[in-house]
Amino acid sequence: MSWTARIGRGLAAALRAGVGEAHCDIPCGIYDPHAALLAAKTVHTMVTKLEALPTPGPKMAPEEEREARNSFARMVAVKEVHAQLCKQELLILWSDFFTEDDARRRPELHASVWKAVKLCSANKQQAHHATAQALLDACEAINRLFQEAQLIKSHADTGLRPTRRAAS
Amino acid sequence: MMWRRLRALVVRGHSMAPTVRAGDLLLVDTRPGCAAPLGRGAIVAWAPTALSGTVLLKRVVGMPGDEVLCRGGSVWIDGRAVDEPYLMSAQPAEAVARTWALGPDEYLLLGDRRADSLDSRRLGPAHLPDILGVVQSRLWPLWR
Repeated sequence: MSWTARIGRGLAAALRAGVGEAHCDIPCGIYDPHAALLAAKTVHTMVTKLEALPTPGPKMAPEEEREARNSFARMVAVKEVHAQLCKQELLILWSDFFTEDDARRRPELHASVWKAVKLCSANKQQAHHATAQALLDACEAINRLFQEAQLIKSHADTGLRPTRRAAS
Repeated sequence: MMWRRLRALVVRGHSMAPTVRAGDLLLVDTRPGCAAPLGRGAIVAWAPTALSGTVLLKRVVGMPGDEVLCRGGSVWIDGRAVDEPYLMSAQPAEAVARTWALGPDEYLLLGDRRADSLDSRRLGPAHLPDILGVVQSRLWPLWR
């Protein structure tokens, strides 16, 4: 350790300094399926709102038609962005959080993530309620796998074994 | 007693480089109300509820009422590109352009190393009560 680092450490100890995390994304090991779930819920909400929009037609007033078209464009844009975000968050969990042990314990893991990211793409291509619901269900399934893996990892850290219920 | 409201923090991680680096010792003002009004560009200690007690150091980029767009490696506020001299170099483009319309007590907090920072882009905007204090100065090293 250099002399500057030694002085810094001494000062920190004297001042009872806490730790401020200038967290980086990947190496810190902070993973949360919440962002993927939130994005999937946004996609679902946008599809629901799109379905409820009035259909422009000859009987519609020009102002009303303009409003409807504007709302349509905004909802599609939000759906597009959040479907992509959902895909990105799922891929981060898949590549960085889940381990080979998780995949061995839960053989459906890879297929579940693959299906979910495919559904992200499908939700960009389509605006169907069933497809949006399928994405939400797929993200909730991955959330359950995440929570289980997280629980097992925390038990491994403390040297305790998970209960049968937690591991089931 | 003002000194009791000052807190020293050792930095861990690299997401605020080059301004704040791993191992730096910072002085944070945690007096109640010190965070309001918060200045744009200030570095703050933030304890997001999602991370249960972990204190993050991030920079205030978006203020309450702002509409913030992160696109193409740049930040735009209310349609204007933000000049960010504290960034190390050109930032890589965001994979997805995103917009936040910040509420009355919401702040968008970002790391200076945008390519590698856990911040409001994943954790969402910070609410004022979760902002513990404002970084006042660097105690060590003295020469940066």
